[in-house]
Amino acid sequence: MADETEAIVRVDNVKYRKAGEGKSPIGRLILFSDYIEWRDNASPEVFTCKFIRINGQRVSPPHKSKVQLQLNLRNDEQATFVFLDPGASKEELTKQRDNIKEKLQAALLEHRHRVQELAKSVESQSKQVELQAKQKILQEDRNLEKLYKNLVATKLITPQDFWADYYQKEGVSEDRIGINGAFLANIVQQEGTNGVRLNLNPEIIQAIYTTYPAVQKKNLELVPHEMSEETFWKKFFQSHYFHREKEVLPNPKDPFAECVRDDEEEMTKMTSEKIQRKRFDLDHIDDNGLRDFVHKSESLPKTTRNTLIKRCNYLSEKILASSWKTGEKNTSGKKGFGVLDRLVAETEGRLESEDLAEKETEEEVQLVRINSSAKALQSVYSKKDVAKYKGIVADYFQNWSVEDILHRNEMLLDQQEMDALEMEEAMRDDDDEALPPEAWCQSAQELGKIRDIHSSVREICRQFWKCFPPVSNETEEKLIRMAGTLEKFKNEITKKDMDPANIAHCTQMIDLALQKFEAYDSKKMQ
Amino acid sequence: MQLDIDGLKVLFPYDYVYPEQVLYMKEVKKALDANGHGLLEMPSGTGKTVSLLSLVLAYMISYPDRLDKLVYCSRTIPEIEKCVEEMKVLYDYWEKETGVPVAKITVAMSARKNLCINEKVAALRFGNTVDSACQKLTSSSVRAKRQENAEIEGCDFFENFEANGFPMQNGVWNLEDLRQLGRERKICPYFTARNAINRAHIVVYSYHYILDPKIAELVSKDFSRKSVVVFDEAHNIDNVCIESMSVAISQKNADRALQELQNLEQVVGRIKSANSEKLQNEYDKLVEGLKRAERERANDERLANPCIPDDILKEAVPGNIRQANHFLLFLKRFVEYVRHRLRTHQVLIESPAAFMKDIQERMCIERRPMRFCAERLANLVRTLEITDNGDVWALSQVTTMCTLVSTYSKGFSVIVEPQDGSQMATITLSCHDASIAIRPVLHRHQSVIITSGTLSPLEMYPKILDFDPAVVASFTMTLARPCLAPLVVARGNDQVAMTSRFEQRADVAVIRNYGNLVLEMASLVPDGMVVFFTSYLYMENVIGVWYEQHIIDELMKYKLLFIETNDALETSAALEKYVEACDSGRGAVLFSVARGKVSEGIDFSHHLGRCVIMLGIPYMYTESRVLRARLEYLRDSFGIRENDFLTFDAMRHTAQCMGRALRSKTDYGLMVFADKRFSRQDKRGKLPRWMQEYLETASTNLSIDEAAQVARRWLTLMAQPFEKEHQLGVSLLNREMVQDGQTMRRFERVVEYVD
Repeated sequence: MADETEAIVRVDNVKYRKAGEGKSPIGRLILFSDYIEWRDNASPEVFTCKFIRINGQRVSPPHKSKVQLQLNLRNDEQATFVFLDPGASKEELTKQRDNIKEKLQAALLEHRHRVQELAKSVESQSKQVELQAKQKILQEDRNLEKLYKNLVATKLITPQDFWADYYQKEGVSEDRIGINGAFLANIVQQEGTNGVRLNLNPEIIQAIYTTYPAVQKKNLELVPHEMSEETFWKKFFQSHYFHREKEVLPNPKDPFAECVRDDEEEMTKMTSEKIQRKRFDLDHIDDNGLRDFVHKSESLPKTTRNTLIKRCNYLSEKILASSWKTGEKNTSGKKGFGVLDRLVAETEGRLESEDLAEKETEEEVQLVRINSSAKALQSVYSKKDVAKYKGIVADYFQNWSVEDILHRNEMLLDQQEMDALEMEEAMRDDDDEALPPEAWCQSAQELGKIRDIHSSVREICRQFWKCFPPVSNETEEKLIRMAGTLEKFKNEITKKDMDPANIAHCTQMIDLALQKFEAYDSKKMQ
Repeated sequence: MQLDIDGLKVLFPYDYVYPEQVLYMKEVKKALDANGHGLLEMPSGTGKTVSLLSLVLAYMISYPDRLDKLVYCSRTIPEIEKCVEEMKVLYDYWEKETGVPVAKITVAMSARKNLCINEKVAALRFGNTVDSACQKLTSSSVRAKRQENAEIEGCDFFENFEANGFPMQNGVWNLEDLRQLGRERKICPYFTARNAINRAHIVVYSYHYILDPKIAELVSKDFSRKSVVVFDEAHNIDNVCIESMSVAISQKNADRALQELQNLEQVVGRIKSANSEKLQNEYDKLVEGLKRAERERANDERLANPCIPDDILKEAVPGNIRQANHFLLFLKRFVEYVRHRLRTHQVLIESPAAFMKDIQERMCIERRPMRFCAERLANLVRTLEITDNGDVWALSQVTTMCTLVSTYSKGFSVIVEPQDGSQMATITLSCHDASIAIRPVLHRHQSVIITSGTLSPLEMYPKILDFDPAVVASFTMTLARPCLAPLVVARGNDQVAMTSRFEQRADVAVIRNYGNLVLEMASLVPDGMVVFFTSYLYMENVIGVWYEQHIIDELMKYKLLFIETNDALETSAALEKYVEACDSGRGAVLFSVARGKVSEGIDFSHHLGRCVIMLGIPYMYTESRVLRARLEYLRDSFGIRENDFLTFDAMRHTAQCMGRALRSKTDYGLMVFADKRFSRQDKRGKLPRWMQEYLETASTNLSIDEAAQVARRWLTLMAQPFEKEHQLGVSLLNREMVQDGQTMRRFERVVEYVD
């Protein structure tokens, strides 16, 4: 079969017990990432078992003389392996066995997880949802629809580029809903004939999983191979998760008994973490050096109440932590306060007499930040250009109020873009103030066409200028692509039967952009 | 702003001032003028610290011959740092106004764990481990050894400090500034600070540096008489005093002491055979009575004598404990005696005199050598070059007790408690008289100002601290809106009285009503909410019952729940998560315990505490023998009735818990007193004036529903925007208003004097 180097674990001297037959052969047990294999030393016999067939595993109790591992298979069969390395003591054998058991368990879990993910992705409808949303956007905005038709349908701009600006995936990552603090208490209870019925729904299960990842792990491990979904949850409701005051004893029948240990480990980890907000670190705020000498030896007996309190804290901590999980890990350090270890920085704002200090008068003027890209652009202009652009900008600022400027589609007003806008405005003005279109010897249809061309040029130019400065490979590629598009578009419109005067500034805009591109290109060559 | 406080020009670093602050400064000045002590209660959040600092600094600059030092004592590190930051603001303002920088040194001082910059040592994090790690590197004996053997590890920062010293310059040195300075100049910040506090004009540190005789003798003994000592947040000062003079030795520690003694014996034996000269030397010195002939190196700090300096005999160590092995034998007898006493089966309370008589009869131990015990041990440890104080920790406890019990016959009692269940047998030398520890401070310094947000009833403090203050005053809070809402909730909706009286507190109905109250409040209060229980044990019980009654589950519907535990680390973690929950807008409830660490040191300002609920009255555990003995002593010596003292103590802790929520005038907080006994005037009347004044008669006997109604109305009122304009002239003054006598007359009733 497969190359043995891919194996996770190999164990020699393992007997594969077969029912019925006489002497069982001895061989080597090998664990791979998605199946387990046993090879006979003497004969070419090979036993392989894909993980998909494995329901679960069992081990022989410690007092038994033989050290065995049993795989429960889907078809109710069992495969039993006996570990009998002649050179090893029983403890060592047990260790060997436990090692393989743990590894197998981990591999099994991973495998199942993978399978589930796969299944999920197949049925995922996110694509469709996205498509619908985009359609809706187009339906709602006629201009955009036109633009889409002119640019994307004609393949001037790729759909990705187009949608990158107009469609944000909303609510997918940002607005993750936190967990209700009382999700356990909110489970609907009904008085059944024999006790209580608890109704679970997917939201609650999801809440349980995010709060207690150990439960999810157990679920993957056990359901449906060793118990049904129903028994699993039944056990869950009998566990310490639901009865927080319960003292849990190690019990092989209770799948959650081992979780207790893990949870407690995590609790101690939580408490041993350094406190970020020094103001709330009881150890830090106390300055009596002598009191420290009181040795912490008399650990109080662990009472059930104590456990309850600890678990209550733990539950709240987990719920709280679940709301940070996405992306940034929950280190409050990242959220401003902790970074400034200097405690005072934190308190400074809250100094006793803070409200006595004069409030700073709020600035009426909004600062316009000129970003570095704009500066970088300027450096390549010729003197003449600079003067020209300056004139345009100055004019622009004089004639337009702050609101007008700020309400432009993008806040980042690049000179070039402003240039474009300015021209467009001029064009509009022309349209409005000039004689009616008939006098222009143009039909309304033609006018519409010109409009389309203008908005298309504007859109492409916008895409083009947005690529500056091309800091990453992606933007660079896009830049080149856009330059190509511009060129193509220019050719197209010049070919069309149209009065050059009407599209003069379109070509001007395109030329400007192309000039810029050339400048950039030649600079890059150097 | 420049203020004129009874003829003194005070520069106040802000453009506006609260009327309370002006009046407070006047009172402080009165005390300073009279060279007397002051007892001043002013609500938290009204800018006590800055007014005090402004006034004292102005006083020191105007009358340098009358006052040359300010010792500002606070309780926690954040408070210390905050105070020093205020001082910085004040310095800047002085410089801006006068054009010259302030020629005064302000320095903060703290334990090594907060100042150490030696990474290896500082990483140990906990106070005692940092201390002993530092001593291992810096004690003189280790350094002497390093002269011979360069391989022994040392601390470069300390060596640099020793070699070059560092004359502290004028300016403000906060803990972080000291660390920064240390890093820049490669010198030890801790010893720089230790060195600087004698010269500094303004010292900011925590209480025990001046109150605990064991440390005060090392750190603060050279302060000038013309100093003013300020105890801020001093409502608990009597307990700090008592603690610093009390010792408890458990069975385990007695055994450990014996162990340490045996180790010492071995060391002595070894040295005797190897280097008997050293011991002889020590002996000679003791004979000469030159107990401190050699200049005591600051870094070799052993704990000093636990007694008040005046009580220490100025004579040579008696002959029978001069020899090291004699002394060890002596100690052994004493430890054996202690162990013998611990084997008893009955509780015994006796006076120090009876204890001395018994020990004389049984072990033939006399009083005189006992008095030198603590000092003799410190001497021996120095001679033996033991650098880790942890090695003789239990033993030094024993000698402390030995010295104290033989020095004081009044104000102390010896309490022997046998083993009881998990409780170990313990012998306690308990100090009942807070005045013993504070007396030298009151005598040595010309003015002592005791101040806090909650000192009511004020007349109690002069009694228990045994001093005669020149000024006793209580200030109320001027408010432009009723930002504190005290409510007494006396009964549940079922009319069952709510109380934590011992007979009723276990009643399920009472606990359920408490639960309903908490639930009701959690459902209507935004952000953070803190619930105080009377004791840890009671909290555990109540939580158990609430869990069964599903109240905890219900509560989780509104807010996350965090609970204080016995363990400081766990509690800190829970606290941090609580703050996180409040900061993130999720809202949370914190269950905490009155008298616990949280109630003492943590501020729940603004959204961290919009509501505080006190479930019951936090009386001390009256069955405690230590408390019983103290009450008896207070009754006999000061004429304070038991009940008065207990109520006083319970109410000051209540006020303390309640005050946690309101940290400034812009803050607001609901204060729910949930016990029917709070309705009675004898309890209510002991709350601070500023709380009483906002407690309306109508809300002194509410049911849960009624309280919820009031709270709802009040919270909507508080949610309105609050601007400076609203405060101006009502609770905030500008310069013209302060100078205008007419305006100031309106605030006359803000101060109330207590005779």
